Amino acid sequence: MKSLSVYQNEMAQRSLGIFFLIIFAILFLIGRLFWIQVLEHEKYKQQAFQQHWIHKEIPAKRGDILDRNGIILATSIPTYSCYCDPKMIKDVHGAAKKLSPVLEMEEDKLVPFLTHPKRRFVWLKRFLDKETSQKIQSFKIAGVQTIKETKRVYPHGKLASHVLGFTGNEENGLEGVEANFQAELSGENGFQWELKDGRLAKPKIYDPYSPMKKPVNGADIYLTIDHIMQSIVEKELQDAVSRYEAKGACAVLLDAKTAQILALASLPDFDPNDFRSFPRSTWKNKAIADAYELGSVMKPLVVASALSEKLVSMDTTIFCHHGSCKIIPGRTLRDTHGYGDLTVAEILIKSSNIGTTKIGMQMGAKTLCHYLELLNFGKKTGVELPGESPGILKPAHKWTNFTLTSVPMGHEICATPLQMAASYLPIAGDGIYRPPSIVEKVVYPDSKTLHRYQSPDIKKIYSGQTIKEMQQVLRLVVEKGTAQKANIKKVEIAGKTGTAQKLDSTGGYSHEHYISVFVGFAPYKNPTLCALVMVDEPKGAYYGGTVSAPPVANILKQCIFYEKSLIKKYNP
Amino acid sequence: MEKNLFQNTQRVLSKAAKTCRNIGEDIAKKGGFKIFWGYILFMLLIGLSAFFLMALVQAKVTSFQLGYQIAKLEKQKELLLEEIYTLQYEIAVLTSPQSLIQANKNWELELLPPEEWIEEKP
Repeated sequence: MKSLSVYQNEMAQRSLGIFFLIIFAILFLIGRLFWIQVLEHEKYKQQAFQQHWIHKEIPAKRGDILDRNGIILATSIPTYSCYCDPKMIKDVHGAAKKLSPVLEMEEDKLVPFLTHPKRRFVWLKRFLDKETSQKIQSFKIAGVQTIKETKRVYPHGKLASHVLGFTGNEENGLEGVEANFQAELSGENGFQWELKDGRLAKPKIYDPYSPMKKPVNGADIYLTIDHIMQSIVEKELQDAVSRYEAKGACAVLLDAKTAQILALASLPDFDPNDFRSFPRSTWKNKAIADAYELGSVMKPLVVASALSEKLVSMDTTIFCHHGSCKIIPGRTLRDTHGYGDLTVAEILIKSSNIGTTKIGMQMGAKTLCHYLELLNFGKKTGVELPGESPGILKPAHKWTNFTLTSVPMGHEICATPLQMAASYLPIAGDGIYRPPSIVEKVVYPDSKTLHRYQSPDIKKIYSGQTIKEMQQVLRLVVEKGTAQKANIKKVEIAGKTGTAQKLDSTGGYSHEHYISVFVGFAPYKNPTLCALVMVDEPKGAYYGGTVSAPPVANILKQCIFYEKSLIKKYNP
Repeated sequence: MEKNLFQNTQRVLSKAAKTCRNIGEDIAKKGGFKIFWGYILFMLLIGLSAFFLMALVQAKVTSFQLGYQIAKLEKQKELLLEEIYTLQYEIAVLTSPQSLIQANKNWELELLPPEEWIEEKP
């Protein structure tokens, strides 16, 4: 039997052992606690955050595009898109059978999506309506869900498609105003952190202190376009293209006082709601992206410049060599009809190449080039659309004698139809060049309005006398000259025709392919509207006076009466 | 051994009783009145703190309830806005020139082109 002291000794040793064991355990726990709470704090904090919180993005609504009267041309509407997680679908064929009639897809085509081996998120169909989404939800197929999205829509279909452009599936602007004003239209997405319970039950736990940011909707863009005028212009352009089986056409309608673009059309066109089903070539806005040698429409600009320089007057007589003249060594100019002496006014009325070239030569390369530069040739107009071409105008020091004898007839100088129409505004208006504009204002959601339309870069080019004389002579072009088909009742139109040969594959001028142009403004004494129609490769006829003058006349007539009716409606 | 343990315990207990007696005597010497009010004040502070804490909890509960109501109303607002956007789109579709031209054709409305909208002056 152990003695009491031995027993006490053993007990003391055991107690000491247990004491150290407990101390060690406590130290271990403290150490582990330190490890978790201090050293791995961020990791566990993040894990806990992910378990408790859901980050919900609140998309901003893309701004609308409206016409000058506030008519919606492009907007975003809520739609629903259906997607699946292939790993969660148990009965693939059952799911396909149920979804097939609702999604309007064949079962065989659905199965590959539902059984995708690699991805856990597969779109089944996008941009469905609310009823379809509700039907899909009612099936309660595990792994098949719908989410809300917005879709960009264009209620007027093809109307002004080249101006508006289009957006991709994620509502990012790809063309036209949609692309050019992407930053203003898109706004800023918001977000909210939502607390969730263990089963992700809905509604989620609301915490007023959870971090959130409200979305800022995109700004609305008000265009200078008038949707009725745009419709008139597109209809007339379509008629002209059909009548002459043309390759394409484009038209510009400008406010003669402010240079605002009231209509801008290009054919062939496309429907921005379904732009992918149209060839890429149709997306191009010919009115601003392509520069052409526009022929005789350049003549009034040369004459007006010469009048301004007081080198000629309307009564000055110029000998036109009966239709053929070797103007410089190696260059013979021809007129369509032979004329002897013609006054400057008659040169324009009869569209004499020889007469205009002689006036141009009288001015000299430097002066003529200066005036053309004042009219913004060779430079972008700055219109708020992407892909604008600056055209081609050689600097004066690079002009040869050939250039000097070509430019007055509209050759060796390339301009976009918009540039050409804008260059007529000083004649149609107050002698001042104003850059054309297509955006009237940008309205932000906080009602802060930014007026985009400003014309700081204005230049007085022609005097009042020159303008008056030019307006009269261009009216005579319509009454007695090459544009008699634009001479219609009710509206007095003034303007100039142009017929230009296109370049063929050899680099020379084609005798089969032409560009027919007419630039006109009305009423000729106090013009309010200025229109240009250009028809590309018309068949059967090719003179500007035959092909392009009638559509311009119809456009101006209808638009002037439409404007008057608006004035009457709002100011009875 | 057991006897020693018993004696030691008794000694400790008598010491504790003595200490308590001394404290009681000290309190009596320093004035029971002050201590009584001190005690009351202490209890009052505890009570007030409890009250404010309860009020704080109530305020938080109310704010959460209001938060749910706001969330519900915001959801309704969102749905109404969506409906407005859709209706605005439908109006724009129906009033587009193409639709009107088609309606004019389909229903033989005999609408006049713009140039005939205004009566001509003689």
